[in-house]
Amino acid sequence: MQNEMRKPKVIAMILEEISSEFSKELIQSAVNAIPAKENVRLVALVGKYIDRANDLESFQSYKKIYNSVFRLDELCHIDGMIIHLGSMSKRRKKVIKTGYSEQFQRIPKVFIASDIEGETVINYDNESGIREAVDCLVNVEGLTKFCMLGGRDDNFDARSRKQIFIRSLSENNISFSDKNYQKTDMSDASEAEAEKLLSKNPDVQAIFCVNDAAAKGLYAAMKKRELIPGKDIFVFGFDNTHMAGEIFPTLSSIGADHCTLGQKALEVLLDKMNGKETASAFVPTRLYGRESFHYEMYDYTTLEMIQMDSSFIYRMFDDCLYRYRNTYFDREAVNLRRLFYEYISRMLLCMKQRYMSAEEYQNISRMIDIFFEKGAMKYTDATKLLQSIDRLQNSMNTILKRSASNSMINRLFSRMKDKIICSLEEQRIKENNAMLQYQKKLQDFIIICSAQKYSSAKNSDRIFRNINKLGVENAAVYLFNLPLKYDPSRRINFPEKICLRCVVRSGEVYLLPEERRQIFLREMFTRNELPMKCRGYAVFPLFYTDLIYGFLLCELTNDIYKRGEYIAMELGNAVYLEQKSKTLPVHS
Amino acid sequence: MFTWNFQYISKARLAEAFHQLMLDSKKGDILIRIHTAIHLEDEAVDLARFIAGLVPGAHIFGTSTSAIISWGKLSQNQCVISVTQMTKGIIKTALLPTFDENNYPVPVDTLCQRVKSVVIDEHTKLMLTFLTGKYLDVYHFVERCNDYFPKVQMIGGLANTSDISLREFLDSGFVFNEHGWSNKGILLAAISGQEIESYSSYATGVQVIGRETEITDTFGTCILSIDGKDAAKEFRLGVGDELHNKPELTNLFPYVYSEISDIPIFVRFSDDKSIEEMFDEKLPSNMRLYTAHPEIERHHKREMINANHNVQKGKKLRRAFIYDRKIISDNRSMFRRIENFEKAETIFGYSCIARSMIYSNCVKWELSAYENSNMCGCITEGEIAHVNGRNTFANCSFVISVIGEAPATQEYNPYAFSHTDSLAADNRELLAYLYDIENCFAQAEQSAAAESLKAFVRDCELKLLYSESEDIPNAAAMNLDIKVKGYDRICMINVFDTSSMKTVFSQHMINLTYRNYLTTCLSYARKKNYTVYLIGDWQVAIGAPSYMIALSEFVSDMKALQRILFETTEEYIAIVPIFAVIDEVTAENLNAAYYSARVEMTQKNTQFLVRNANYGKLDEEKIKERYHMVNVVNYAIAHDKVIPYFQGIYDNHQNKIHHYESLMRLEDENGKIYYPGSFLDVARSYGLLYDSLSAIMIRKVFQRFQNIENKSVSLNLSIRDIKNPEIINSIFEFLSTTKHPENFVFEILENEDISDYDELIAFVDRIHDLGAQISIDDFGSGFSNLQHIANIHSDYLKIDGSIVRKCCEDKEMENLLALIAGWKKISFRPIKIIAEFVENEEIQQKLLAYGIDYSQGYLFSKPSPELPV
Repeated sequence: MQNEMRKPKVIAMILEEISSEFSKELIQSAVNAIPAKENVRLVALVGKYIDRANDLESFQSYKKIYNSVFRLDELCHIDGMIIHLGSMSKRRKKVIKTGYSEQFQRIPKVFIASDIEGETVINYDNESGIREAVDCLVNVEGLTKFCMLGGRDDNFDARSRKQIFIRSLSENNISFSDKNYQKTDMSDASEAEAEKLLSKNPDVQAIFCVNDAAAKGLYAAMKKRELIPGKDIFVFGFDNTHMAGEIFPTLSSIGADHCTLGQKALEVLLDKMNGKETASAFVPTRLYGRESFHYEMYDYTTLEMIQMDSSFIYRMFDDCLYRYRNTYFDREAVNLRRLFYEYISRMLLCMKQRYMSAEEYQNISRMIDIFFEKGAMKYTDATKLLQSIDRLQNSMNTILKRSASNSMINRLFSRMKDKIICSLEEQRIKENNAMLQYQKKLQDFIIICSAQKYSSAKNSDRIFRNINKLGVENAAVYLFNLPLKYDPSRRINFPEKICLRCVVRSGEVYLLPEERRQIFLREMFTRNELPMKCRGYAVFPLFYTDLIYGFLLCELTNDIYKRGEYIAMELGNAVYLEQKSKTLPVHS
Repeated sequence: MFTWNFQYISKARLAEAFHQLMLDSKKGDILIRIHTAIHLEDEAVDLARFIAGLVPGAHIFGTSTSAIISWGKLSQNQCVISVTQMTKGIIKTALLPTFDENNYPVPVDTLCQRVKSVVIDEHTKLMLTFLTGKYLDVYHFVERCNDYFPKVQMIGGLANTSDISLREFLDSGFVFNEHGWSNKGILLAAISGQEIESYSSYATGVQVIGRETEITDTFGTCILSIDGKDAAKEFRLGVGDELHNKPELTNLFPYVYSEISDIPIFVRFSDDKSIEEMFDEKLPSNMRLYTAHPEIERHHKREMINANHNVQKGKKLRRAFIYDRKIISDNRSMFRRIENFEKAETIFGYSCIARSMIYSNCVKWELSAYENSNMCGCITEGEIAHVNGRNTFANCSFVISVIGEAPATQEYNPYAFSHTDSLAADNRELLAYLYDIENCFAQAEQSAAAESLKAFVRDCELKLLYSESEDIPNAAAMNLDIKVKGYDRICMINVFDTSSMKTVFSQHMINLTYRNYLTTCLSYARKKNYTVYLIGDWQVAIGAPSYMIALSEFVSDMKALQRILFETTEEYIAIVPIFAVIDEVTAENLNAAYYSARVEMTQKNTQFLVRNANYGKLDEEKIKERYHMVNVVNYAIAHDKVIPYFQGIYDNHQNKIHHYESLMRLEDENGKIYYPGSFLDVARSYGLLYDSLSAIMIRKVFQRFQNIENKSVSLNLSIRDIKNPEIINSIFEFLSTTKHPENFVFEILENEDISDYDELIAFVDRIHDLGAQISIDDFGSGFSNLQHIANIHSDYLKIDGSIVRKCCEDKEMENLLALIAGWKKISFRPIKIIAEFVENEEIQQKLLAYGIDYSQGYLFSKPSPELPV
């Protein structure tokens, strides 16, 4: 009966290292899985992994203060949580499990990649992908010397992948000893470890990396020794991140099959929040073959092609644009899957009929153009798509032999290939331009912040008035009335009230009037001031040395994953300098 | 030589025309050609005789036809008369029989000899020759003419008539002169003279594809087998099974004789006749066939391919096909030769009926270069062409002869052939494709070849049937696109006030505006690659598939179009096109979605709307729920399950329950209790159900309270109730008879539209008059009309629960509370304020602080069927 504005439900995602490919894809796939009709806001609370043994002291203290962001999970209003404990400190694991308030305990939670008993857990089915890869290497390639670049012992996935790898090898009667194993910190800074592994095993034929990031380190080590992945040593990673398709040679990687971790976790969590029965689940995995280890994920059989089976065409699409089906599909956008189906089926029809009219050729060409214009390349990597298209072309040519429609069909194929290269280039140019533009804006921001005071009253606003220069499209800045001093000996507690300093909506900055700024900290994520159309946010702490000023809440965009932390640092510095400059003694 | 063409209109006009031409056979021979598509046989002879009377000594040459060519233009249903006056040249005409008195066809050699002896002399240059379809040895005859009079060019063909149907064999054409007509004859006009020069050419557009085959068996015009295989079956395999339904497709795929490889031999395909039906045994000419083929199966219907002349065993055939690009190039080269001919005094042109079936407008287009020339001729059913110095019987050809005694030029239109882009796309690959097919045939991979030909034929068919037409696809085409091509984004555009236009503007102006409206839509859509459909007058749809166009793009394009349409200049009437963009369209849901969009647009008075076809759809769950509620209400009425509940209203001054509000509840078969929120809307939409519920409720409350002295009760009344005389009367009657009318309070829901104020005021006054009281319910909900409180003399004012419930958290709500309390203080009327939804002590304290008189809510009393003590 009442027209109260519906508050969004807030789902918090707890994990670490936002700039890592794994975290980025995990968060993004969860955001994408939010159904259009649900009024859900996903907030990523992403902290840092602290390696007490290896991190520099300054890094450690930075990370500790950074991790104060985790406190928000208890203090803010949250309706559900997705937690990737991964390798978070054991202490925190325990805290989440037992230490928090009773209210916190009642929030529906889903854990990712975890072995906590009695909780809803979403894990990779590590087994299927690794087995697929090992079986192929042993049976098809006839390899016998395997190594693994492993992960941290406190990481659940790293442990289980190692076990499964060893088990799969032994089932194939291949020995594996400690000599063949080297652990890493699972980041791309694992070149030294890879170096060690290669030194210990000069005759290695295939290396399994616990994740794609570790494989990047291996690539670097191999390059030094002039070894080429895929030619001298077969390499495969895990997680099937975008990076795998972008490094050279492209990296074969095991990844989620038809449903990603984030997607599954979100689905299960929503069910749980709606009071449905839920159970732990495994996300099936499979091997995505690329240049570092050739492996075809799907057969393109000629029979199906001749029959123009629609499921065949859709399967081809899923192979070519393997990221598409795991991505949120906006009904209002162009449906690439259907478009692909339309033009491939028309090409197949022409192949079958051995005839293509000039109009049809035009039409199909146009469809291909649109296909790439609308961002097909976002859902695959170039080499993979090129390869798949090549395969398709070859098999069609085998059927066509020397028919007249042949030349047109082949022209269409080369058009597709051109488009792939062109879109890659365009993308690169675009990124480059964006980067330059961003640098320029940042410079402007710093100039404005450090410029001579021109008006004392409005002065404190100028940081926030220019906050869009930092490259945030949709965001909100929350500041404590007074900065908090971080005390490493105590659990940090934030004040009940916080000040909503400014909001950025579609690049436009809105400063709130003084009297409307004060809000409850617990409402931080539910405020209506945040742009409703954004479904995913990330929270970054704003601090300088041990002074915590507040938080930056940013819409999750590609840029924010990469640079969000940096933006927050800049902002923290600016706020610090602003306040500092007021108190500095000056020669008159 | 001089030639003039004119259309036959009436005999009087004809006489006049001849008079003006001042024809005189003494000055030179006169040839008068008549090609008529409007005269029956005897009428034609009559006309010929009339002309012979007007121009004595003229040579009259008449044929029937289906359409005439006059001054290089094609016209149907006309009769053209072309007069050629020679200077020195000699004209000889003759009408000879082609069948003897026993109805046997005249042997070819005999006919040749006769023709030679009657009309040919040593200077004969050109012979116009017309036969009728009945003489099946025509091919052979024309061939033999080359031997009998080798230097004579021949042009002409088989006469047809306008009542044609290509599915049947035709022999309805006739030839005539002033002496009579014949459908079993040959009509000749030989033009001779030393000075006379003539040039004859032809264009077909035929491309030969494939290797040579040989006719191995025939039956008259029927080709029984080729290379020993069933000829009809081979042909059908080549063209595809579509042939069964569209026998006219055979026009596209003729056979040619190997020796003259670009002259098609018209082949007709039929599958519904037996040999017997096709070849009448009783016809003397056919008897010979049966004698020659005693073993042939006569009775069963079979597939057959037939030429329009007798075919001979041993002739070498090749397959061919006619395509647009070749038609263009053939015509170009023919035109170039004709154009360069010096003595172009007169042009004869004959084209084939089949050509107009191949590509639409083909004949008109081919003629376009000769539009200003004196070309006269007609459409025939088989032509005689002069090919490389030899005459031959042809089919599906366009034949021209230019003749003259002295140098002369015609006004040609050389640009006619330059605008051919629209006529055909580049078809090189098409040819390559056809060669390919031929290879398949060679390798006997027939099914693959048939499959591919089918696709090609379909493609041609489209051109055949739809090209060149400016028509916009209609609603059926739209439905087809929605279903087949997945066009699921449709924008419906409509202009509504068109009938009112007529009262102000001229029809011409309206037409102009309409045309501009359509062309604007069309050209915009073409630019953006959308498809336009014309649904009705002024109603246009634009479609696009979601897999090509994002909704946002489509919407912004449509908005742009709307602006363009609206911004047209002063030359046109200003129109307001209404745009409804509908997404996720299927053929089934489109109309419903469009109509509901229209309704919504009218309500909101907008001219542009975007909606999803599925959103507007009625929710099945809701419908079920609705019917369930109707059942519940009906059940409750029938089984006395309308139950009054009572909730106490607490007096904040006296600290006790002051009176009770009666609340309606329904109970279903299972004893489940329903609240008004779930059934009242449904009941209201059924009207009478609501009236029954109200009546029952009021009756029950009255019964319950009529004998209670010290407790008062309030009843809810809606404006509908107050307008219902039955209810009103029952209330008045009760109040005037009961002992304690002051115990009854009537709560009026004021959020309903009050249209008749007087009625309401009258009701309130009457209630007061009878001693009962009035309360205004839900004050502060919706956007209350403050006038109501001023005008209606109510005793109570009930503050809406939405204000009360939040008065502690929300300062604004508290302010409203203060406002109402303050108003009460300054009002000179004794009015009491009731607050509902008082749920906790905090609220109650706030209410007390503002001096609210009564509180109603869970804090004090929950509704129950029993009166709380």
